[in-house]
Amino acid sequence: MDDDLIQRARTGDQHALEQLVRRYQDVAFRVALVITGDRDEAQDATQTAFIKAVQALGSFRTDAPFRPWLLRIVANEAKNRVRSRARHATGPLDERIVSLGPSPAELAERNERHRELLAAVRTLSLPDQQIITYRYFLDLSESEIASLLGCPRGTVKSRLSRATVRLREALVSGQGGIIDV
Amino acid sequence: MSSRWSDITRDDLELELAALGARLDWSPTPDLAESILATQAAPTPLPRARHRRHWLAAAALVLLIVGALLAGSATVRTSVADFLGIDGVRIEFGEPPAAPVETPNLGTPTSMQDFVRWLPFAPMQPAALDQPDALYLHVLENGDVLGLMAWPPDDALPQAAETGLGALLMQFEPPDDIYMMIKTVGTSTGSITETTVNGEPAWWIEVASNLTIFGEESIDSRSTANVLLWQQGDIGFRLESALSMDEALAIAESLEPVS
Repeated sequence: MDDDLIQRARTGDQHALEQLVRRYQDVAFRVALVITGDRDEAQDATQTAFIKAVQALGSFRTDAPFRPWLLRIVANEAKNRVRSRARHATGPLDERIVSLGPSPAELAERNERHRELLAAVRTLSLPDQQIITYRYFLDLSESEIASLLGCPRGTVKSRLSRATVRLREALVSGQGGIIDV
Repeated sequence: MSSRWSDITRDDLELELAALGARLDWSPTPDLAESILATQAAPTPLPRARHRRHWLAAAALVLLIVGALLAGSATVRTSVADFLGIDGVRIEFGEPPAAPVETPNLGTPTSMQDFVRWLPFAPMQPAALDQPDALYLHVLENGDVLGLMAWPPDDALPQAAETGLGALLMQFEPPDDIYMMIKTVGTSTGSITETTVNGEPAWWIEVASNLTIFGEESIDSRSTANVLLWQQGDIGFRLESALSMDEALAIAESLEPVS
């Protein structure tokens, strides 16, 4: 499906380009949000990334998956914006960025578990929050995360493993996974 | 909170995380298609691509020692050619990088709050020294983050000519499959001495050396002062100074969690 859209977008087909953007703008924007913690910067980073991706479509290998390639560009744009400011605006899972959806009353137990779990993830270090978000909340594969981060897949596996260990410690202790500042 | 989670397995935790992920409401995505399509009418030129030199496909942090071990120090050369015992640390022999820059690029200045939040481990600081004068976060090419603490020179910390500082402490989480590499070339004098910090293997590097860091923005190469390299728990440490080995060891052995 992507191959056809990409081929058409390369020829200047605006409708194909629009479809490509709409197909990936959610996950792209959320990756940018996770990195920047700021809606405006995330929007700017995502828009710039799409523009660059469109301009680079001519060199994109159509036998390669499009999403990880795009998300790598988004991540780089988002990181550029983070580095240009002195302080990180907010955590990647701040309440302004994600919240728990509504739950039926009969699922109160599940809702409570998820509330605790989200609170515990929010106590982790920012890199741990990011990698857990990529894998479990944005459903990116380890290969996609490796491409996004520009590191080997083995590194992603080990970082995920450590992050989940620290998350479990935070849940069991009820005090957070890292030093409270 | 604790009793609900005390017996959870890793597999079940992953399932819970995935279920949580499916329920999350994200901040709404703005409609980007219109603005992106509008720019296609008046395309802007791509910025010039960064030139990335891949010294090694897997290396994110490289210590290069320019200057061979002492002539005739075959024993030392053999001992340090082995895997050093710090996760991901290896010594090899090779060519130095391009000429070092004058001013070290320590990374992005940061607050203690962000220093703690951005490092994926509980950072440490030496009780034997005062509070660091400055903190930095250095992002590597693969996105990993190094934390650096800097102290100015004073009566107890002579100035290191290479950094202009009294002491520079780097701390990092060594990943499984990228590594810190020490390379020696040339014929200048110096030594690499195996020692211990709190009973753990450590290396004292007192030889003309270069440090190269493959960051996201650039590849920085600079001369380094004396270096003590060790691992405590899962964290790697690198203390750079003009101190003697014993003085550096005393600082290293005083590490405690950041307060």
